Amino acid sequence: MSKGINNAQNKRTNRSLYDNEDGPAHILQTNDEDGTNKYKWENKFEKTWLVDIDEDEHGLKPSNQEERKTRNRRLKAADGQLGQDQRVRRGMQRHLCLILDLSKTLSNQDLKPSRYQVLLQNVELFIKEFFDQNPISQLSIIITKNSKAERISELSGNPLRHIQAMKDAIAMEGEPSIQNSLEVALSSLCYVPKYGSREVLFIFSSLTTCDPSSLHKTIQSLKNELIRVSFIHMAAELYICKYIAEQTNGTSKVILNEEHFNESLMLKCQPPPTIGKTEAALVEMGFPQQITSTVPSPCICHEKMKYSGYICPRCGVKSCELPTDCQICNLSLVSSPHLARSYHHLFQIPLFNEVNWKELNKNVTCIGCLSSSEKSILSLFFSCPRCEEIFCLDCDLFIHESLHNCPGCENKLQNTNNTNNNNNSNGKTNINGNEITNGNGFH
Amino acid sequence: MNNEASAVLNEDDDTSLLVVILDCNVYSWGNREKSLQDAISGMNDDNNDDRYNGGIAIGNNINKRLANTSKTNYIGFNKFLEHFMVFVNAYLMLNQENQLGIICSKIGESSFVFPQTTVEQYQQEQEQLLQQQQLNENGEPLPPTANKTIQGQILDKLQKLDLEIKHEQSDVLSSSFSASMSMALCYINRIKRETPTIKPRILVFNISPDVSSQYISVMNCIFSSQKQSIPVDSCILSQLDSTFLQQASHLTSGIYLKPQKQELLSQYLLTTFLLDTLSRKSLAYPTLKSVDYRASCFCHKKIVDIGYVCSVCLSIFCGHSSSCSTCGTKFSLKIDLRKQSNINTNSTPLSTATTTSTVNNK
Repeated sequence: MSKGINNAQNKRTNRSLYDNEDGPAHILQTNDEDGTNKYKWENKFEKTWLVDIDEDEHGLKPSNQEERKTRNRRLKAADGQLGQDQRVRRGMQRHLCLILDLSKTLSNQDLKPSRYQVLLQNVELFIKEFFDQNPISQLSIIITKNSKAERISELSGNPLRHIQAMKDAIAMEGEPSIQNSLEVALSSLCYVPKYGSREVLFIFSSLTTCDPSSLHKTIQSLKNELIRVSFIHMAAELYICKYIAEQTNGTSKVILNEEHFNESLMLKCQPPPTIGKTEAALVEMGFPQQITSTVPSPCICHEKMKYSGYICPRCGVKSCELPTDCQICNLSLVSSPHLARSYHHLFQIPLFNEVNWKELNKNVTCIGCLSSSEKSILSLFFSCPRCEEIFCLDCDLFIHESLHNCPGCENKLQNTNNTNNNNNSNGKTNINGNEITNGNGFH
Repeated sequence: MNNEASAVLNEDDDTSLLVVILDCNVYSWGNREKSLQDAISGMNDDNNDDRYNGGIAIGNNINKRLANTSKTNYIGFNKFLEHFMVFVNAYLMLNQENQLGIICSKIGESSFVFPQTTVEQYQQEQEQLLQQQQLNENGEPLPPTANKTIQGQILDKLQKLDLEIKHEQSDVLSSSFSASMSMALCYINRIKRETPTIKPRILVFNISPDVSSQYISVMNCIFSSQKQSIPVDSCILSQLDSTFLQQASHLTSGIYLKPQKQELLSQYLLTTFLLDTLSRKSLAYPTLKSVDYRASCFCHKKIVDIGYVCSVCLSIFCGHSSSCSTCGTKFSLKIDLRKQSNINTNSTPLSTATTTSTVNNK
């Protein structure tokens, strides 16, 4: 964190920008054609065409180790923090401050085409995905550069506004300041209600920070306010970041490459388990109906004349999109599908176990997509621990990442629902089966 | 929707994948047949009620009255199949690369009808066919059976369905719509991987009422298809509207249709559901006026404008209470900005909700 390191780094980046003949010296990563990126020193072979490919007698690749590894990484990473116990109380209504380090280190080109571009692309995807999975949550973007921190978008639920604000921000100037940005985050998060989760996600690109006073005071107040700070480093791990993350129950991650950056961000879309004894509360929410009138009237949010809109049930003001907070009476306006969107975080489907069908000596068929093990010897198959139906690798990924429904369990649910009411393993489905559903199913 | 860009790219390629979900709920169709029978017999005499004891007893008078007024408006399963096969044929003729999947949701179980479940089954049937032909050749030369065509396969399977009632499931009367929807999405996911340019859509024929216990899984399916921009079209063959399908069609910008005169069902199907998503833009289609997304509370099932949502499990209540009846969480009634500086200074372990045991579902 000394000035010396910073100067050396500046020189290095400067040189790399101008000395193109030698090739930039700081590029650490290679970009394989098949899309698997690694650090250069991790790559096994320089000349892959000289290496024999493992083949069996049919000329097919016998090992599916690689596929298995990818699958485990993708699925277990999401599940891993929680282990087997699925009944974890989560902060469903999230308030997230996204802090972006827009210092001049972003001009570094070790991520292609540059760190800045990669950051923009991935954060945009993240914001969209975040609101897709947590529609009733709120987000705010804080940027830090020139040793200052600035809030460029207030806590709100509109993804487009955040993305626009992020794109408009001028980047690549000066140094970041961890303390200033955390203080800004603190100032907006300490007023949100206690029942929601308060999170800070810091995307850090520099190796230095420029702080006005001791960070330990800030860490203490973060801890008091139950704010969880997580770091994603684009460069290298810093002790202070790791320390902050540890103290506040957050995570600290260093990215390997672009793909890994994306994965690490997407993991943050899942609501985290609550810290300590947080309060629960009944939150007042309005469920407005859409009305379409023949005469246009102005909406409160954009002050434009619109034909259709949602009328706040408490104060009667028209807003043009959901979910939002009524600007007059501050009632949160949602519709029932928005609540339903978050339910899959509460009722997760278990991880599937791999089926060794070669040893069982029989052919298996995926019940989701009908692909059979007869056709290719490479395919991996998995079985759901609850319903014991067989799924192929692609269905397994699809079910866990996009669908959040196990077709086999859905089939059997109907029969078990009546008999296993007190069964522990089925407790989740019963809650989902009888209570929540009755409420929202019929309007 | 933001699939404009991709649509322009694939303008030339208009092959589509249609996954049909047929509601083959025996009870619903049985009730339908019964009311039809009653309507016919009701003209002559009223003493024909003993034929269908397996069906659910509904107020016969109401049923008859409804059936009498709408005698020609509703059709039975056999008639429906005829109309459906016309539609399937037309769809397959529209483009030779069009692909089809048919899933039927029976009571408590869903299964594929059209792409055969396993290769083995397919082979078995082929063998049976061969055997039949040989026998026939020994006796009298007969023309090859209709089983060879796709249509034959589908019809064969669908007609067998009527017999597949298991006695163990007699207390469950609901169709497994969420399972068939999940299977359809998995299947589409696979076909899309094999031919990325294909345009998938889902068509649901529905006759049985919504099952509220499937709400979450159905909503998950809807969100998944919305994300992949797969339209979910729905054709309602019963008198009641289906809230699930209304939401599905509305959220995925599909078509929701409730045919008034089902005698003319094939015409409805051909004009409404035949064309792919690209051509639909230039045609006028029936639109849903409004879908009611208001929630109803869990405690009294009242529709609420302003509700109170549990911050832990997101269940909705119409008034304040001291604890959540779904997850059992105790609420702190003082919602103020009380400082908690004395409590929770050390890092605390992740709290697990130990509350689910208190749930009693009756």
